[in-house]
Amino acid sequence: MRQPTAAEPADRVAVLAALDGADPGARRTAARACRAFPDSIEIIAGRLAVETDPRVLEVLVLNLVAVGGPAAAAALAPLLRSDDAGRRFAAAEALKDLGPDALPFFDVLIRDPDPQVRILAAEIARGHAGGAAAQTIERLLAEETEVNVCCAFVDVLADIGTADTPPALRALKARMPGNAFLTFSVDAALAQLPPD
Amino acid sequence: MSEGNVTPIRPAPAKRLLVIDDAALVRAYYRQALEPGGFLVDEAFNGIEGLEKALISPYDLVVVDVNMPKMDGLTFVHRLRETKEIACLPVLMTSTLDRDRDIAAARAAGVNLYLVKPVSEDDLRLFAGIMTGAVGE
Repeated sequence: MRQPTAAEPADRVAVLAALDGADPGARRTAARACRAFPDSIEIIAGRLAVETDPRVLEVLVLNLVAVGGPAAAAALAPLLRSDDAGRRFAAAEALKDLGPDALPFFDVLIRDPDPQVRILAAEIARGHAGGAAAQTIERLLAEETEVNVCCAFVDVLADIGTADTPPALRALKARMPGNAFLTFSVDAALAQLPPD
Repeated sequence: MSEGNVTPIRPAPAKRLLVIDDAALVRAYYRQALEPGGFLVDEAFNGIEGLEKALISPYDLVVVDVNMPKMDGLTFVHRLRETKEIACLPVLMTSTLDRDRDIAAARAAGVNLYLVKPVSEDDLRLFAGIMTGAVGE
């Protein structure tokens, strides 16, 4: 974590100290305040890696989304590999909320060798209805072998898919006929999507 | 035997389950698997909503996911175990996470049983029945 230096203004020193303090309430207030700093992404990303309180985590993520831009997306992307469930899902949600700035990271993460990263990466696409992200997931669905990843893709496609999506879902159902949850998910998604 | 000595047989009250998962498809799948088994199923979208519901209504079992927005499943179980009124509620965790350290973290949090997704309808009904005491009644 970045430490304040003697040359920094007193309020900034106080905010950075509070961000590392023991009181979650003070950390939450500091998390809001540090958005005003020019190096806010660096500060927030550093705190995001170690923060344990879900309420503070939420403020940090919201601030990163508010700052926006590719640098914010770059700070969030590695957190999809975090051992902490709250941190990795918060990162996925924030990347979803970042919009187009997150799409270059989505394109890489959705092809990650780790199926858990692919599952979370699918969440990023939820903010991009009917666009290239849906087409990417449809293409990858044709080759995906992990059933849980397939189910995550289906769940997201149910939200962002188009009239072009049902053939990809039917092909998946035919390719993996023995899984009850996958069959249930595909049928529910088909009922939700516009007909092809 | 006189009629007065006969103990009327009453059906056991239905067991109440709280399913906590951010994926609507998962909640719907669990509901359609459990309700035919006589369970009453309630739903929550994340750990925060789950805690609120668990504090208001008496449940016999919580079925909870790990990766969820606002409050993840592990944090939910930690909070549950710290809350006197609901600390003893049995918890069945279902997740796509299948590494030993994920399962160890769930156990450390206070999860009673951990099943890796996808969970079959038969397994869900069986373990829900065992954990609520519905099996054998």
